[in-house]
Amino acid sequence: MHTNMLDYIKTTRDVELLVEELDLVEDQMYKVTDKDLYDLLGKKLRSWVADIIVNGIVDRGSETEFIKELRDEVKKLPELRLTLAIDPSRDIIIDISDWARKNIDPLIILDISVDNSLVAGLTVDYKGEYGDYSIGEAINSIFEKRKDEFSSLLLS
Amino acid sequence: MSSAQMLYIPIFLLLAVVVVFLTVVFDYIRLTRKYIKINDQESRAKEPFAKEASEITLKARRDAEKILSEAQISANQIVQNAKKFSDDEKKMVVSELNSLAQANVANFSKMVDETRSESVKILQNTSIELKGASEQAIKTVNLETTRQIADFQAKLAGQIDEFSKALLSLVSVEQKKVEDEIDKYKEIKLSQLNERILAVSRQISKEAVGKSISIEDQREFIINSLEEARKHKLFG
Repeated sequence: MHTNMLDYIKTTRDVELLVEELDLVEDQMYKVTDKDLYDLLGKKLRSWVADIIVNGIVDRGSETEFIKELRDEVKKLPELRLTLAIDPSRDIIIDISDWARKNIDPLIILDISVDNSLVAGLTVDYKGEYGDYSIGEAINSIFEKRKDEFSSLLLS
Repeated sequence: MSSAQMLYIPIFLLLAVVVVFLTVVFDYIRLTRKYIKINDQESRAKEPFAKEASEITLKARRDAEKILSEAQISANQIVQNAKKFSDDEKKMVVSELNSLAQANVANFSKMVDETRSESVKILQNTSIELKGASEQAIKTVNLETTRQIADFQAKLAGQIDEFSKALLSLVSVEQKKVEDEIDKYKEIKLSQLNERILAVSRQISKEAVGKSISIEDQREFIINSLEEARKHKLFG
């Protein structure tokens, strides 16, 4: 795995975009000349993706095998499913990713979804283990524990 | 015996026959008078009893009609109070009660008629010498008839009362059932209302808390939540 590539790939959406670009390169590989291919890499791909591919092809010596191996590698990256209360900014994604790669797995990819009812915090789903650490759940829990108390207040 | 004595013997015998004949005649007249008198007295004795028996029968019929009328009124009142019954059920109850009362009145009327008939028969067989006993019989019949009327009234009243109680009990059970269902329904609806109010309160609380949390706070909550999950060994 190209370690610098992980600086750019933080989420499953990042992986999807990369795979799309790799598919495009692979598709054009047999249709255009090498020169046109490098032109394509420069125009159609993000610069860091183009750099990785160029360097990878040079190191590996085979465009086809490199593209295939890279695609397989990114598809196999471990995922951490998170549900957040807000649509996170890139900065927040980077913070979460840094924490996850430091504390869980250095190759981990975030699969993020959004649910406003969580209020704050998140839910975690990792390798079949689930946990709700949201403020919404804390509020639910408070209401559930004090349900009788609230009910009697309503009836009084 | 001399010829003069021989002459008096037939005269004496003739006189004896005449005396006997007259005695028989007088006795016949006396007996005839006595028979006529007895006959008169018997007729006079029969007359008040027949009138009395007729009055008893009439009174019994009036009582029976009154009881029947009261039974019908009671039945109507009970049915009026039993709002839970359908019209068909009400009709059925009234019909049942009427049948019950009418059957009793019919039996009673038959019984009075039989009593009356029996009493007249007894009197017809009673001679004038037993006038005193006849009067006693009249009193006995009167008492017996009155007693039977009272018994009948008590029996009919008891049946109506029993029927009324059963009916009211049925109504009470139905009312209790309906009240229980209403209470249950109210409880469910109140519970649903509570749930709804609590859900709205919960949502408002969440929105209020959510609006008060800044992006920086959100970031902090996210990292704290991840730390919490790690403490719970969620990441292995």
